Amino acid sequence: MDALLEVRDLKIAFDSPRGVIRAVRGVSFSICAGETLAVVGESGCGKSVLCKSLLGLLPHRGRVAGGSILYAGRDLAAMGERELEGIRGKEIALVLQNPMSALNPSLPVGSQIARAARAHGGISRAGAKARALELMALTGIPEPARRYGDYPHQFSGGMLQRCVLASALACGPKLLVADEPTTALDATVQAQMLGLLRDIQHQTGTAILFITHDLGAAARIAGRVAVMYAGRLVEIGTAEEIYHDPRHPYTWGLLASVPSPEGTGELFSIPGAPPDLLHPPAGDAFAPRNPWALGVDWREEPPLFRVSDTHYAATWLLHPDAPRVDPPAGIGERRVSAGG
Amino acid sequence: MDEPLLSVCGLQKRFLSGGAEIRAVDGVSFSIGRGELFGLVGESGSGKSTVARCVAGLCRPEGGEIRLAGSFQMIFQDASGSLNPRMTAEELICEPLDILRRGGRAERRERARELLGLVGLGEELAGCFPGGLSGGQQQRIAVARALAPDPDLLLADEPAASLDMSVRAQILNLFLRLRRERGMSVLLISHDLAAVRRVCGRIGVMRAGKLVELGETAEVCGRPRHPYTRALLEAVPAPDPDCYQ
Repeated sequence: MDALLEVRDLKIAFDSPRGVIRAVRGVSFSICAGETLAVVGESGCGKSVLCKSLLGLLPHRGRVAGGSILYAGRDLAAMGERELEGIRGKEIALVLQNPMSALNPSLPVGSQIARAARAHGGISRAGAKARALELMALTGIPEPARRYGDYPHQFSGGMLQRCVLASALACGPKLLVADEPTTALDATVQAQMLGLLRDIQHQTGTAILFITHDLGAAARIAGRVAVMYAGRLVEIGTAEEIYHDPRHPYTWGLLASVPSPEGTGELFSIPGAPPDLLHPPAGDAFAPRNPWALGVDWREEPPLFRVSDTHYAATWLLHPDAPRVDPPAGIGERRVSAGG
Repeated sequence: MDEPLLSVCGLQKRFLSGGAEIRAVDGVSFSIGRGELFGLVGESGSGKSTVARCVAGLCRPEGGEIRLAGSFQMIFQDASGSLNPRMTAEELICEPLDILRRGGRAERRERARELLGLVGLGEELAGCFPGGLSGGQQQRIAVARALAPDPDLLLADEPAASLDMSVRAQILNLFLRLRRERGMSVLLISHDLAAVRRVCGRIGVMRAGKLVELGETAEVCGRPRHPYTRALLEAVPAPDPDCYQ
């Protein structure tokens, strides 16, 4: 299938008073129409910066320092503000973590969704209102006609995030970028929201780039998963491959961090902290936290080794000369009966 | 049996919202023993934070009784909002000691450095301002500050909700360690049942101001009686895509 979006060797840097912070250090991936790719990693790994760059929304000190973001054959990274305006909302839409800050507190929610529907023209006021009501129904807001005139403070967090989603979908984007859209929500509401995203994808055919730190949440929605560490993709594959046959020790650590219902006592946590990207380390950035680090990890950054046509991992453990290392007990084997 | 460290009996707290009365906490009773980790779970708006705020004296209940046989400290969800941005990590951690007039200046500084180590932060962070720290580091500063006066009870309101899995695990493991090493009790408020069931011996489930289930963790999670507890258990995401096909 043809890629809808193709990111090639993307590098993003921030100019700070202390020097240049290399937040994204050569990331490549693609998203096909209608699929869901989850990008998973800890805070500071560059995943949010990555998704902001797709819409030309980097903070003012940030800049694309190399590579390209190809959307329908055009490079978003090289586009000016006016051209990007034509992309935002219409082709690629964004949903952020906090719905409270995404909506204007002094305007009724319905009219904000209608306004989003009108942003790219071609629709009357009455048509936009009808579209807003339709979107509110699509995103599962009960009694859209009654809630249309309500203000953001009259909604719960989960309902508000549905409204944000409705306005993101207003112009029928082909790609929805969702940056931790459920992190601020309650567990039960989070599960509903992830189910809703899946339903909406089935109905509208929009592709989803889902950014999260929670591999558990990603399992509910993603067809493919990319694991990001210190500004690089360290493993990418289908959900089946990442959850049941993970190859990178960092992915092992992330999987072990999801608390299992059977366990008791201390929770697993990956020792140490991510590196300072002001001074990216030589070699593999994960080496200091990696109990399976080899000598070469401290000198040379591992390339992405091919596991299958869809599965790649950047760890020297996959080099033909590397010693055989099995993932820790339980990793990849954790299967839960349907219905969880 | 020994007298519990904290006992809450028939707690009532009402708020007025747009002329309507909301029963935020409606007859909640539970107790926490010394050296016990007690988890209070429920969705936002269920009243679990209000319970903690009543215990802390941050809001006045209309009815019921709260008995606390010891000292307490509180940790809030929003670490950056609970740390003064113009104070260094060391000053923040020393502040409760300054207020309580415990020890001399040098003693307090030494204690601050010891606490930094206890929460897994290096001493080199002592001079840092909150703005220069990550969310996880800020929350650990807040935990260190709460621990400074060596309280008997820690009231932790969603202490790890906004943090990465790994940092979340570090904070919850720290609670386990504090119970083991110092016999500290914790009231852990969270909507993350997956984490709470791992560390807490007993759990209370709140919904719409009422405690709908209360008991040993194994009992509540193994044989949930209330439909809402079952919904919470089912909402815990499993790292296995097969469940969701």
